[in-house]
Amino acid sequence: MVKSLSKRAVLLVAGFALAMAAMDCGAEAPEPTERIVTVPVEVEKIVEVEKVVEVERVMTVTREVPVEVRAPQPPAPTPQPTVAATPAAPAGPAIYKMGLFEDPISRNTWNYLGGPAGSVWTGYVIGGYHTSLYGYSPQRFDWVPAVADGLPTPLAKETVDGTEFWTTEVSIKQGVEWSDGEPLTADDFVFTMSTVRELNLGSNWASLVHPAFVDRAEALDDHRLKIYFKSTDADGNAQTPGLSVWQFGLAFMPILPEHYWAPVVEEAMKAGEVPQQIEALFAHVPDGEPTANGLEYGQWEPGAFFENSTVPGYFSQGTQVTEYANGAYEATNERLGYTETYYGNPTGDKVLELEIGPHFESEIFSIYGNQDSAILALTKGDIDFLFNPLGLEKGFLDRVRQTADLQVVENLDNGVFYLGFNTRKPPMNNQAFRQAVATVIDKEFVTRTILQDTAIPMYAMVPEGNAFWYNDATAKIGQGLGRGERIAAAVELLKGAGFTYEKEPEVSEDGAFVVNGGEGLRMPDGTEVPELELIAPSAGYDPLRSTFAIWIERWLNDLGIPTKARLLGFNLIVEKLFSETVDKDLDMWILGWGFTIFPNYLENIFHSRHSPELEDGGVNWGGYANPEFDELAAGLLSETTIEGAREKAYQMQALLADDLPYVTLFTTPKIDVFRPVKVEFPYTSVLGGMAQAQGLQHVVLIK
Amino acid sequence: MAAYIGKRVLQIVLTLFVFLTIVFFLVNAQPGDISRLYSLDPNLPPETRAQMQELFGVNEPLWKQYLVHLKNTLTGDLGVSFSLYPRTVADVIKERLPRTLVLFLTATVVSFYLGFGLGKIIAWRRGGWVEYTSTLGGVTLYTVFTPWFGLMMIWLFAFKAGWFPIGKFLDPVVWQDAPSDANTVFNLMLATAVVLSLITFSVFLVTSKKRLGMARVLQAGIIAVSVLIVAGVWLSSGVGYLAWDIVKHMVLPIATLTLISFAGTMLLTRNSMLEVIREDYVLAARAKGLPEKAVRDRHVARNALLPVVTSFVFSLAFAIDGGVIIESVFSWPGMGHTLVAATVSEDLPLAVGTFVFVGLFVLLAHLAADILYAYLDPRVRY
Amino acid sequence: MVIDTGPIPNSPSLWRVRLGLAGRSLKQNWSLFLRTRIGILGLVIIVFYMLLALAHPILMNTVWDERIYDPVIGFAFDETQQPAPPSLAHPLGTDPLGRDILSQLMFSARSEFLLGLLAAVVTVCIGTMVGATAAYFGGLIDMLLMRLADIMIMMPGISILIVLSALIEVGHLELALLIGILSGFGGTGVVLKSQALSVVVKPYIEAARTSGGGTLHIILVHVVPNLLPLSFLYMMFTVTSAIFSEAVLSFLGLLDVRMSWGLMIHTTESAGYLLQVGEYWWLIFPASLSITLLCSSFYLLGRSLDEVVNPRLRRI
Repeated sequence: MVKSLSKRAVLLVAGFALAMAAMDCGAEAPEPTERIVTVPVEVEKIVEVEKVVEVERVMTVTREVPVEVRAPQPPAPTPQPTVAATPAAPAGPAIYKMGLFEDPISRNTWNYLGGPAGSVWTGYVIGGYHTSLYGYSPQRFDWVPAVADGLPTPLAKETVDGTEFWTTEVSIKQGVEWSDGEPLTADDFVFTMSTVRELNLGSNWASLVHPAFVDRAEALDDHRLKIYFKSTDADGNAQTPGLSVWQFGLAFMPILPEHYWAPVVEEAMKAGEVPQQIEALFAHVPDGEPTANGLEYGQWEPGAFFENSTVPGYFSQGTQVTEYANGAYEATNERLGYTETYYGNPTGDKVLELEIGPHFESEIFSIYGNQDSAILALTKGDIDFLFNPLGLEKGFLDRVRQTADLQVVENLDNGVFYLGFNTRKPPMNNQAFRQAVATVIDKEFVTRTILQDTAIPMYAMVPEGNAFWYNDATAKIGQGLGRGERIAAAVELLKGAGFTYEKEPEVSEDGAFVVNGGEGLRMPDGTEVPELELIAPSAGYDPLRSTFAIWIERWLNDLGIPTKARLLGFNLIVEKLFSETVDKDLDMWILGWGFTIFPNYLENIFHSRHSPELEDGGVNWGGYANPEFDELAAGLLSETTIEGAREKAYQMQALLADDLPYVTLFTTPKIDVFRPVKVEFPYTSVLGGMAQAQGLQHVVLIK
Repeated sequence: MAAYIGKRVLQIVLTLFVFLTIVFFLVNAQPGDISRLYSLDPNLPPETRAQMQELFGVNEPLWKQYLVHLKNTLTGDLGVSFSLYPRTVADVIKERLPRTLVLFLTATVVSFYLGFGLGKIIAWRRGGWVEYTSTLGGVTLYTVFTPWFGLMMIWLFAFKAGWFPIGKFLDPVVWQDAPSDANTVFNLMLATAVVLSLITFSVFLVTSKKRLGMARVLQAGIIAVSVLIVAGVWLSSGVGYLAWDIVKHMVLPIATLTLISFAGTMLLTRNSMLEVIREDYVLAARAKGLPEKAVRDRHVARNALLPVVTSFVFSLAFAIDGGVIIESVFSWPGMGHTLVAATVSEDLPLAVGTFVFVGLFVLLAHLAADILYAYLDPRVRY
Repeated sequence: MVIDTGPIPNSPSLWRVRLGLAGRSLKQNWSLFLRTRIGILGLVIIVFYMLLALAHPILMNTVWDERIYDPVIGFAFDETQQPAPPSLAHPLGTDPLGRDILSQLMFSARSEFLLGLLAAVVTVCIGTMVGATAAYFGGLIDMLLMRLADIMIMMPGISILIVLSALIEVGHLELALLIGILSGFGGTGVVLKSQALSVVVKPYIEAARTSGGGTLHIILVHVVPNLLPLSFLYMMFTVTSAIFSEAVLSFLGLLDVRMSWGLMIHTTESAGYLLQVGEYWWLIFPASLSITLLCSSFYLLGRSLDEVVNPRLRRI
C-alpha cells in the first residue's frame, strides 16, 4: 500500500506542486458556476503543471487592451461579503490541520523547483511561501497581478547595442515587504532570475525562465523592471516570446529575497563547477528565510508533521476579492490602499467574494503512511482536510459519505489516460489500423459498467474540463456503437486499408459478443500481423489502467489482432519507453499525463522533434511524425494571442483524434474531503480539485 | 577465546565485502538511471538532463562507481540520497534508525519474554489443551497476513474503542513548540532502554547462584528501584511528556508485533526444552525431589535457553526487515519504510545504504551471537 | 568431478531395498504423525484448498459462464451494484471491479500451490546439494558454501524481494526461484549440512569410497537420500514463506501477477474497503483468511513432521 502511494507520489512530483507555487496571494481555483470547471488529473506527473491558467481570462488580457480600471483612491467601502466573510473568532488559537502521505523533501525553493525536491508534498507545504509578479485569482484562475502593480507594457521590439530584443516593463507595488520587514523590490526579481540563468537551473525553473527566450532583466528603479527576450533563436531565426514564455512563464516565477539568498548564492558559486554549485545551493537549509506571501516555516518533525505559521503584516492579508458573473475581477487592499479591477466593470451578480487570509495562526500538516489511517484520522477529527493526490476510491468515498460531519467535493481533473502506438512499426504505422483499434475499444463500457463511473471516457487530447481549449467537434470514433457494430466497423476499416482475413470475426446473433475471433489477419503487404505487446501498469500499481489493458487485449484478439497485455510496474514501463531500442521493442502502451491548462503539451508530446531518438529525454515515444501536425505545433508556441492559440489547438486536437497516435481512454474525477464543522471554504469547486489548490490555505476559515 | 573471536571477525569482514559487492551490483542492475525520473518533464532541456546525470554521478562507468562506493562505505560515507537530495544517506539513517530501534527492540524483548514464558509452559504440559491452544493460536498469529492484522488492530483499538492514537509516532499538537526534537527523545529512550537492560542482565547474573525465592525478591527489588529512578529522571527532565506521547503511540504497534512474533520464540523454546528434558541431570533433579517449577525453570529452561538466546539476537536484526509492513501500516517512518520508499523511487544510494546498514547489523548480530554462545555454553571451548 | 559408471547397475536394487524400508517407516511415521493432531489439522486445510484449486477449471468449463466468472476479466452483469454482497450466483459476492470472489479465490489457490511447491522444490534441490557437498568435501568448498550461506541468511528477505521487484519483472515463477535460491543456499543449506555431517562419517560412506564409488555417485546415492526426510520438513516451511511473501508483495502492489490472494486484498485496500469490516466482509475475509490458513497449515504440517523426523521431540 505504502509502496503504491509513494511510487505514484514520486511521480506526481514536481508538476503539481509547482502549479501552486506560481500562484500568489492565495490564488486558488475557480468555482464552477456556469463556467465548466477545468479538471486536473493526477497521473504520473509527467507534464509539468506549473502554469495552471484559466485561459479564457487571459485572452482578455492579451487581446483587448487592458480594461484596467486601476483606482489608487482611498479604499472603497468594504463590500458586505455575502459568501465567505471574515473569520469567525475561534475559541483557541486557530490551527488549520491537514493530512499528507509523505514528508516534503526540502524547504529550499531552488531545489523544489529545480531539483529532486519537486514533489507534490513539498509543494503543499512550501507552496504558500512564494509570490510572483502575476498569478491566478482565487477560484476562477484569472490572470491578475500579484506583486506587480498593474499590467505589463505590451511587448515591443527594441535594439540595444545592435541586438534586437523583445522588451516589456512591469511595476512592482509599493509597500510589499518580506516577513523580516525588508521591502520587496525589482532587484529581488532580477536576482532570482539571473541566478536561475547563471546556474542554468533545470526542471520547472527552466520552464519559468525559458533559456531559449529569456535574455535578462533590469531594475530601472526599486519598483520598476525591464525584461529582455531574445528575438532570434539559436539558429538566428526570428522568434516571439509567446504566452507560454512570458505571461504563463516568467511572470509566474517565484521571487526570492535577495538579501537572504545573495550571500548563500555567492558562497555556493565558490564550489567549483556548475553541478557542485547547484549542489551547494540546493543543500542550503533555509533557516530564517523571509517570505512575502503570508506563511512562513515554523517547525518540521520529519515523518510526523510540518508546521507553518502566519506572518503578521502580509501585504495582501485582508484584501477583499470579488469576482462578477460578467467576468470582472476586483481586489481591494486597505493596507496598501489600492483597488484593482480587470476584465470589465465590477457590476452585476457576484460569483465569489472573499477575504484573503491566512485566517489562522498556524497550519499543521500531519503525515500518514497510508490512506486507511489518514481517512480514519479524518473521520475521527484529527485532521480537517486531507491532501490526496491519488484520488479517493469508491470504498473510501462510501465510508466518508457515511460520516455525518465530513463533506465530499468532486472536481474534474486536467489529464488523460491513453493507449499509445509505436507509429514507426507496422501495423501501428497504419492510420486505418489505429482507427480500427480505437473502434473496438468500448470506453463507455469500461468506465461506466466495470469501473462504475469512477472514470470518465475521453475522446480529445484536451480534457473536456479544460473548457476553453477543448474542441468538442473532434472525431469520436466508435462512440455509442454496440459490440457487433464495433467489430463490423473495425473489419471494414482494416479491409478498406488492404488488410485481409483468413477468417473474419463472427458475432453472436444479438450482436452482444464475439463468438469466434478473427483469424489470419494479414497486413496490406501480405505479411501476417505479428503478436503485439501491450504494456500497461499492473493491477498493483493502478487497477483502472490494468483493467482497461486486459479488456483491450481481449477486444483486439477478438478482432483478429494477436495481442498480449504485459502488466508491469510503472518504472519498468517508463524504462521501456526511454530505452535505446524503443523503436524496435515497443508496440503499444498505456499510461497517463497530467496537463497544464495552456495546451503547449500537444507540441511536447507529438511534435516529431521530441521523439527519443532525436532528443535525449523526448517524450514522443511513439515516434509520431506528421509534417502537418508539426507545423501547427510550432505555430502554437510562438502564438501571442489567445484566440490564435485556441484556433491552432482546435486544429491539433481534430487532427490527433483522426490520426490517433494515441487513443485517449479516460480521465478521473478529483475528490476532496473536509470537515465543515471545523473549516469553511469560500469555494470548493476548483480546477484540479482542492488538493491541487493547496487546500486553499490562504482563504480557508477555521471555526 | 581471543583467537576464536579474531577469526570470526576476519570472516565477517570478508563476508561484508562480498555482501557489499553483491548489493551494489544488484541495485545498480536497475533499469534506467535516476535522471530519467526527474526528466519526465517534457519541457526539460536535454542539457539540463545531462547536468542532472552529472550531478548524480550516474554517467561514470559502473566499475568506477563501484570503487567509489566501496571506498565511501568503508569511510562511513554512504553518499547523497537522490530522493531526499541533498541530504546524505548517513544523515537519513541517523534520523530513521533510532525510531526503528526503539520500536523493535521493545517489541522483540516483549515478544521474547512472552514466547519464552509460554514455551516453557507448553513444553512442560505436552498434549494438554494449553499446548494446543497456544500452538494453534501462536502459529495462526505467526502466519497471519500481517498488513491486514495490523489494520484490524488499528480499527478495533484505535478507531472503534479509541484507546490509542491512529498510527504515527507522535501527536503534532503535543509537540508544537516542544523543547527538543523527536530524535533527541528517541535517543534518550534508547539509552534508557540500554541502561535498564544492562541493570536487569547484571542483576540476573549476580543473583543466579542464589536460592530461587531469594533471587526472585532481589531481582524484583533492584529492578523496581532502578525503574523508579529512571522514571524520576524522565519526569524531571522536562521532556518526559514528549516521551510519554511517544510511548502512547508505541503501544499498538508493539502489541501487534508481539502477537505476530511471539510464537517463533515459543515454539523454539518448546523444542529446545523437549530436547533438554531427556538429559540425565533433569532426571536427577527430579529424583532429588525438587519442585516441578524449580526443575523446569532452573534446570531445563536455563539450559534450553541457549538456542533461544541466539535466535533472539538474530531476530533483533531481522526486526528491521519485518518492519517494512508494520512501519507502513502504523505510519512509523523507520528503516523498513525508508528502504521501500528508496527502492520505489530508484534512490540508489539510499537503498544501498539502508541495505548495507541492515547487513552490517545482521553481521554484528552473528558475531554477538557467536560470542554469547561461546560464553554461555560451557561445552564450547577454544 | 569423476563420474563413476561402475556401481550404477546395482542402484536399482539398492533403491528397491530403500523403498521397502521407506514403506515400512512410512507406516510407522504415519501413526506418529496422527498422534500430533496439529499436523492432521494442517493436512485437512491443505486438502480443502487443493480441492478448491482443482474444482476451478472444472467449474469454469461446465457451470460458470466465462464472461461472468473469469477471475480477471469476468464481470457480474447480473448484479446491479459492485461490489455485490454474496448471493446464490456469487456465494462470496463480487469485488469492486465486479468479479466473482469465489472464482478468484479458487483460481488463486492453484497458483499459490504451484508457487509454494516450486519454491520448496528449488529450495530442497539446492539445499540438499549444498549441504551434501559441503559436508562431504569439507575444507575450502565447505568454507565457501557456508560463507555464501552467511550472506544469504543476512539478506533481509522481504526487503530484498521488494528491491528485486523494482529491478526485474517478478511474477510467480521468478518469486519461487528467488525464494528457493535464498533459502536453499541460505538457512536450509546450513541445516542440511549439519545433518549431512552426521551422514558422511557413517561407515558405509567410507565403504563406498574405498570400493571405488565416484564422488557424485556417493553424494547422490548415499548422502542425499539420508537428507530427504529433513528436506521434506523444510519444504513445508518454504511453502509457508513463499505464500506469505507473495501475499505481502502483491499487497504492496509489487508483483506482476494478474490474480492472487494478496492482489485481492490489494484491490480491496486500494478501493478503500479494507476497514469496512462489517459491511464488506466478503472483500476482506476470504482472501486474508485463506492466506493465513494456508500458511498456518503448511507450518503446522512442518511442525508435526519435525516431531516425526526428530526423535528427540517425541513424547517419552
